[in-house]
Amino acid sequence: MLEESGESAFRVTELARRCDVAVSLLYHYFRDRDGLLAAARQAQFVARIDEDVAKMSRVVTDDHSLADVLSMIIDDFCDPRNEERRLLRLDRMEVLAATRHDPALRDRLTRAQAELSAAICDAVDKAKADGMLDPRVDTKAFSFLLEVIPLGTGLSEVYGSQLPDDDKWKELLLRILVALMPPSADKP
Amino acid sequence: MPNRAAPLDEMSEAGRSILTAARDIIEESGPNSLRVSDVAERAGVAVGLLYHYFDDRDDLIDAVREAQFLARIEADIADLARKVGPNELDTTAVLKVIIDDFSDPRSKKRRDFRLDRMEALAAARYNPELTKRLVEAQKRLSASIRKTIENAKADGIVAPEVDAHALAFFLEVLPLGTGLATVYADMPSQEAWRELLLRMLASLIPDKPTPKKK
Repeated sequence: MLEESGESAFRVTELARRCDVAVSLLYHYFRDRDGLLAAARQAQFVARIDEDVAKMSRVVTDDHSLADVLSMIIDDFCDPRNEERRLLRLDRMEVLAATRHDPALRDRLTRAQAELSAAICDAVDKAKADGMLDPRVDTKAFSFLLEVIPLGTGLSEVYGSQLPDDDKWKELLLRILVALMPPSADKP
Repeated sequence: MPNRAAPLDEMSEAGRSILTAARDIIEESGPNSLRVSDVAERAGVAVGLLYHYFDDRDDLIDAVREAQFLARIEADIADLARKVGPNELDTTAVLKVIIDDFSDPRSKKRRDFRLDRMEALAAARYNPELTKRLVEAQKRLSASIRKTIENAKADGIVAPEVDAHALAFFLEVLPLGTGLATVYADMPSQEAWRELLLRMLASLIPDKPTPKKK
């Protein structure tokens, strides 16, 4: 409903009707209209990212090669042409922008983000231990970067014909990421 | 002042004050509650004049979004072009402007500006007319970023094999994504973030022949 017609047109009764539940049940789960909106925003913000984070820890812990890790970051997380990712990024941007006028939402997202960041930092530390990433690379900085680039890629929404060729974009990301590997690693 | 074809840049004082008023109202209470008469009143102009500049209410809202999307970016691109320009050719200065200014997650001004851009992008999703406007605006921005990159290549700051389209995209993606800092409690230290970006960007600089020791 938020996606269809925005926040101000949002009615709790209409939502209850759509979900086929009583309005009172809805208030059992969510304190009030604002609580419900904030929960929806948080879900938008976290959607898919927690799956990504889980994938990331799987790929660095199991017997995956460096090439698998790079491919996950470059071909999946940072792919500007992936339709599902495109919508997800715009969702996240919308929610981030909404935090400006809503400190409670910002606190909520900050808590959710802290959990995501901690899990990403764990995966990054494992990648370091496995010799995929130069131990001198700062864990927190690289974890931040791993979310910053995919999010920023949402700019593709208005890039139209200016978007780089698929190959060229991947080549650039690869070059940048290879620079963060340990000096001794077998570079792809 | 450079000549640009953008209608926003050609707008008079009155046009700009209308935009500012509309923008303030949207920031305060969202686009749904925006009334043209309120905007005119706040801007201190007649409603008729407002319609001289903007076709209708939707056009006015789109113009606000476009201004949000462009604000500051044009100044940034000019800044970057100057650093790469013949009078101030200095790799350190170029890296500094990208790392310490464009991609600084702690700057409050930058943060607001990134969220403005994100808001405009998100709004474009349900608004084909706005998308068209932003795509046009972005085309101009991308072209000038690429031109700067080509100059940087010619000057030996960027390796010739680095694709200008890809790097231009990256140079906008990185600062925009940094807007995530808004909800990031445990930020990397400034020093660590700078070092990471420097290391990444340094990989795009051509290998220089090492100076011979005597």
